[in-house]
Amino acid sequence: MVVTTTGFTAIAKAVGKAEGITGLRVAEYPGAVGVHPEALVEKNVERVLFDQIVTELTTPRLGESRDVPGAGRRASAIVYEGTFDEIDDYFKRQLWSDELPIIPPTLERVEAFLKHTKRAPDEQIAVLPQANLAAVPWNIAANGVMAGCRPEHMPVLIAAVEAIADNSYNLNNIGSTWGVLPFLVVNGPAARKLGIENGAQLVNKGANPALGRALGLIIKNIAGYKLSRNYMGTFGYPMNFVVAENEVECPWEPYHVEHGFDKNDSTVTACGTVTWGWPPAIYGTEEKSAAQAALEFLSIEVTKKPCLGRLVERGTSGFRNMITFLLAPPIAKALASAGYTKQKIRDYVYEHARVPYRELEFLIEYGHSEAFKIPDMVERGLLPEEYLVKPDDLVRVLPGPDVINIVVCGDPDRNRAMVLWGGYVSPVTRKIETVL
Amino acid sequence: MNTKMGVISPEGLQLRAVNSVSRHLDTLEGKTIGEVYNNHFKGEFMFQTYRRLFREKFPGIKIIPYDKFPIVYVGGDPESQKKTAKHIAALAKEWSVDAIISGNGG
Repeated sequence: MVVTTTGFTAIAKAVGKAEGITGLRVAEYPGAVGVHPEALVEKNVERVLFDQIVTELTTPRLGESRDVPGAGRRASAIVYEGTFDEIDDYFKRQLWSDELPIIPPTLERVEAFLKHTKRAPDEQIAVLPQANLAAVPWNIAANGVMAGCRPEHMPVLIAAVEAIADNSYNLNNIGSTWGVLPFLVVNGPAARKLGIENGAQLVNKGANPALGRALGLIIKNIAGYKLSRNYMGTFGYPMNFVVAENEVECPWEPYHVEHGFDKNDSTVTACGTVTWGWPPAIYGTEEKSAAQAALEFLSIEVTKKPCLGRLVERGTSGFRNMITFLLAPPIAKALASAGYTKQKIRDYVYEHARVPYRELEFLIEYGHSEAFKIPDMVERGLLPEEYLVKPDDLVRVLPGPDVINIVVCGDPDRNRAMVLWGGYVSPVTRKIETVL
Repeated sequence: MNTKMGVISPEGLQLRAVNSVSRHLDTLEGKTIGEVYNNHFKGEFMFQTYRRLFREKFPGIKIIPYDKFPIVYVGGDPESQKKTAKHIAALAKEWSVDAIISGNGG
């Protein structure tokens, strides 16, 4: 049986169901235990939780050891008929929408999407956690229609589903109260052909908003992440977003080529962030070049945005992290002109992004729900021995240089950079099949 | 806007049959309870309290504390997490555990 804190019983049961167990036994501790003193925790266990535990362990469950068959619904089945407004209301009641009006996924509209993929309409593209439900072109297209995508976006949506389905992406664990927001980076000719923007205000322009919205709906409807059930962001989620890389202005190999694809391939990279915010404007002077200022700014930003107590972890059981640097073209060019490759930028920031040990110790001890301290983490292999230092010594905040992903995009006339940090996820890139 | 339309579902397809949980215990007296902990949400203090209450109410109960099992940590990916879960299941079988209390979720 599982013990949860208030509000997390539904997610425990949802995860149990996705793993093949219905009727999971759960006892729920009342309230936010993190701010409860020990005396209150003990009282709550004695008066509330313990009796629940005993009851859960000793009470028969209806249907113990009996199988519940799968639903067996056809993906193309008409599930509702109504007017535009009636359909919108129905989808809201079913928790299928994102609360904004949706375009009804009629057979005609969905079939238009299916014409833009070579995949069979019922082909299983992936099984998406947490709900472990199957994504097939029918339901991928339905979410694309609802979001306002165009039929020719279908190959991008399929590649996005394949990317988030990869175990390395860790979709299974994004329900955290942190509010993990998946987003996509698109590279290659498809981005240009489909009008996916890479310039000023890119996340709000062109095909980007509809594709981002479709990603959010797919995560809701196929991965099964439902608000207040198993998608638990304390303050909710902004809209999922999409960026394309400005490969013309990028002074280095574009992101997908750097990751082993041909420059004529088109790719989608599934990423994640829990941060968005101020993009510093970076100025060079006679004394300090713009490239050097950019490196120092990026190193400072990396220490400010993330949850450092998690970011530092490494090893196979370490916390998953990804940092994304969105560099406006002038910043990328200043760095490249000074001889910095993407790898040299990563190495610089890995070496220079540091905080005092005492600050990291505070963040770990008071900023997490775990009972870990730095020496415990070293003992468990989550940190190397270089972290066993004095309180004022500076320690690295990055687990390694390769956690940094660099994408050139944004206003081509601005000298700004943005640092995004995605806890729980690692980037996964998938090729987009030919755009038809 | 008043024209009726038929629509399909955007939801993923259920793939497999679902099994119910294992059978309940008739009593906790004389049973072996395993503790599995993720180092979260002050559980080390809560498990201590459970142990005290179990011993008061079910004197014959045997508790295998969480430090005998692997820590189930939030890090890693689904593959590494499943590997840990299988290790715990094997230990529970080896030690004839009747039930496991796993916490804390939140």
